Amino acid sequence: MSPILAIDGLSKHFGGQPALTAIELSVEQGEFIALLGPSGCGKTTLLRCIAGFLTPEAGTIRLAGEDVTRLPPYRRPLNTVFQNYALFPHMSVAENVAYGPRRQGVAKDEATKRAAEALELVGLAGFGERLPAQLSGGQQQRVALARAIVNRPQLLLLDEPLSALDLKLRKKVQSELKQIQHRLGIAFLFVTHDQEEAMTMADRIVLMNRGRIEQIGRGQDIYARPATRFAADFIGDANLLAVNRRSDGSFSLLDGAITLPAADAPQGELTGVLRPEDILVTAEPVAERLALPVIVSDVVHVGSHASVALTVGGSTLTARLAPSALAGLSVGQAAFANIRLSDLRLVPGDA
Amino acid sequence: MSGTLRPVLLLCALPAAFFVAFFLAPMAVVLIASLTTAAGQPTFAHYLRILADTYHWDVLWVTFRIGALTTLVCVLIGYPLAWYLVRIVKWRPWRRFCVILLVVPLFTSNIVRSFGWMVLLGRNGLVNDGLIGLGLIERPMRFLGTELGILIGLVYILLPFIVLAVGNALAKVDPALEHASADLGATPAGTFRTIIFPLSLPGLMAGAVMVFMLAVSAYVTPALLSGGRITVFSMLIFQQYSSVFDFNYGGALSITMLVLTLALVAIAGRLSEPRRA
Amino acid sequence: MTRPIRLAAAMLATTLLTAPALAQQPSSITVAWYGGNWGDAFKACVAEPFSKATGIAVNAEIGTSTVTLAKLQQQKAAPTIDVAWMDGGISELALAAEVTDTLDPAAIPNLANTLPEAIYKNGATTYAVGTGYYSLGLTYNTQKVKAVPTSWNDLWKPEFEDAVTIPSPANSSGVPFVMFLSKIWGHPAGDLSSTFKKIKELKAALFFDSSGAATNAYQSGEAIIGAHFNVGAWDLADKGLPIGFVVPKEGAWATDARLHLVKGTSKKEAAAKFINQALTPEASGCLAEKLYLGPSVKNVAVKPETARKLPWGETGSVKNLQLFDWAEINGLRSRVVDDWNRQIARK
Repeated sequence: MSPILAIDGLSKHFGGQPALTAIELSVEQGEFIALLGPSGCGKTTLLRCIAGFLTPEAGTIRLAGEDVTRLPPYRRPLNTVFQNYALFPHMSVAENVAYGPRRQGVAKDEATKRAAEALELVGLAGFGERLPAQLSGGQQQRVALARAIVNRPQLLLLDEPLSALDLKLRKKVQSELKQIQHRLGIAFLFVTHDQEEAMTMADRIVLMNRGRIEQIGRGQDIYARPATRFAADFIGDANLLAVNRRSDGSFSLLDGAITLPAADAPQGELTGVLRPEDILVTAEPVAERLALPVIVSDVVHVGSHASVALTVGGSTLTARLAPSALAGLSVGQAAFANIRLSDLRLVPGDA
Repeated sequence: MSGTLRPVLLLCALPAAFFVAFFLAPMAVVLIASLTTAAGQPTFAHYLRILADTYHWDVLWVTFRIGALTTLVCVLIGYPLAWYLVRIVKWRPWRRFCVILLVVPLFTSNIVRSFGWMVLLGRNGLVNDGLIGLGLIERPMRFLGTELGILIGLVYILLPFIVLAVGNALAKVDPALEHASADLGATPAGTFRTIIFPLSLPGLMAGAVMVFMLAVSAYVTPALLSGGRITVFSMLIFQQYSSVFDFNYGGALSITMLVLTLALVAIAGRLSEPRRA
Repeated sequence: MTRPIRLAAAMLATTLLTAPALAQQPSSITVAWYGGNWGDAFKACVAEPFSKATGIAVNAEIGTSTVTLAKLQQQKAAPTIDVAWMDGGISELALAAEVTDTLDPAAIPNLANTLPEAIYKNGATTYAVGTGYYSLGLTYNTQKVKAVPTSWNDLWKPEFEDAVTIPSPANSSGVPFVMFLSKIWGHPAGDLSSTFKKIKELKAALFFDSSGAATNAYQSGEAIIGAHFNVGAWDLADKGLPIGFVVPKEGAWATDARLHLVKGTSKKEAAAKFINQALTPEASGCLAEKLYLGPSVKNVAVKPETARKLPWGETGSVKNLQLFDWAEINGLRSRVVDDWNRQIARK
């Protein structure tokens, strides 16, 4: 079975400035993909190329095997939930949702029926006669979703659909959205800049930076095995350590406090990645770990855990400890940071 | 009266006084005159004289027909023009130049512009010279003293109102709505019909009502371009005030015109009203 | 706060009421006249010499005759205008509205030198005096009209089809012109039906509502023959356009610009002096030179070049002018306008 969306060598630039470079992406049917990255990384540009509002300079976009790169938006078999919903203010909720079927040539009665079904699916049965302006932000968001799924597209694009909602509502809608996606079996391509949102919702995350894809993978895989320094930094917290390549091929970190043997590490600048929870802080060295002598420079309690800043020579490490592990640690005290070398990853990119 | 209240009351009284002095009082004077005889006795005779006479209905018909045609032509030319300015022109200085070109004539006198059209539309005018030069007609066409001539003059003078009203409405339509419409499968024409046009309709209606009101009440342009051969209602009113000096009958003519115009506008407004608003 | 204002107002009122009694010679008077070159001429020919001779300044209140009459009616209780120029026709309405005062020959000695036709009386008292005549004559394009027209009936010649213009009732000359035509055609007085029938047969290019529209029509060639005021026609000719003006054999309809002393003015003596100044041969001659107004003052000498352009034509006099009884015109006014609307200004 061919992927529902296949993007090959896609490039787009605005007035000479590259916005997307050599994008390769494949989305399977029923998949939930998050397009994640900081603002300006190109994720929205990519979405617009897929929807047809932008035409790329190079590359192809295939939907269910058909090349749609040059097709206008209204001839592409996909739908979009827009960032500010873009509901038609002069139409009732029911008319908004029935708009898609009507444009596809569906008879009015049938379109109205489908619209009612879609509204019921998003939990807005009975709201059909209202105008969008008479609904709350969350309700408008659901209308936008109902309008986008009523045509049963095989691919749904969502452009930061939750960014206008407050935190509590956002959590609720996240799970609802996930359920609806599951029930319909539609592939979702979901643009967000919120890594937590991406981690909780997506089957796979497409991590973008400066118009390029940094890494594609399941959230926990990217967290555990970041492919680049950017991936390590953007997904979760990380201690990013400068790496010196010695003449014998081995690596030195933290001014020689850590030495790694020569290995088939990538060429070029490298960064050492160490997750804060992989550091044990104790008064005495722990067996079978590399114990680095440190000074506790700060302790910040964040509820479920504490963030402890440690000074190693001229560098600072951050460790995450359970509150119970904090006993006996105070600021200014000498301690040991115990790490496993297997937890330390070398990734391309300058620290 | 407390010391702090007085300035507030004064502030409120000022606009009220302005309104009374410049709108209410003159209207009241005209209304009272229309309901009294020259000697000051109350009467409905002036209204009966107007309404019972088919001549007045004929003139009203001509007036409202010219007004409606002017509005129609203004809408047909003005909407695409506004579209061009708001949607097609990307280069800002050019757009600004076009808007200035559109607005500047509003600052010149109606009389000057209508005289200009008299010269252009005359038998030896530029328009006839052009049409003959192009071989489209053999003898000069008659524009002055025809409804076509009045229509041309009124459209020229009132077009900016439509363009500005529609342009303003079009500029306010969120581009995301067009994307949403295209995304849902609407062709550009379908998007225009179902989204952009309905959303620009309030602006279009406002502009059309303004043009219609100004066209049916226009005096200078029809007076100059009719060559005294076509009578519109404002001319009847002007005659009563300027040559017959019958302010009572003239007042009744004015009120008749006002009431009929407002009634027509109200009907048009009701017809174009969105179902739910 | 209100008490001092009331006091001040009372003091001001007292001053205003007592001032006229105290003032021997006012420092200025206010005169209502028309705009444009008419106002300029009145200023140069009458107001400036008057101020020079008496030391009294003249403030101009500019407006058409109708507007001036409306102002006088509103100010009846306490007029701010002392002297007013108004055209024939409006002058009679001003009399009826009781805003004019009697012109006293003792205070205005120059009344004795004025043509008897130019002195307008209501019974035994004089309420207005003409300061100059202007006429509505036959105006034509000297290039397009080969033979000099001699009669108003020439306008109906087929060769002038669609190139004729005459005034519409919106113009001050419109109503009197209809009655003028009725008279020269010998139609029965009071029955205008045959007159309208004939006007209806006229193939007009336009019926002008303002003097400017007429000037424009002759200038652009829209009209090559028709009626126009002598002032407007000669203005065009002076600019070098091929325009001629003749008084046809039936005569020309004419009227005049008249001076009125405003009833209730506090500066009656100075106002009378102003009117007297306007009736000097110098002032009358000056108006003839500037506006081609036919002098209402006896024995005014004008240059031959100017004499040609006066309302009665090259060889005529005031006798050639058809001066109508405005009371009669005003009585028929509403009917003429109505008939015109229904029969002429309609397709």
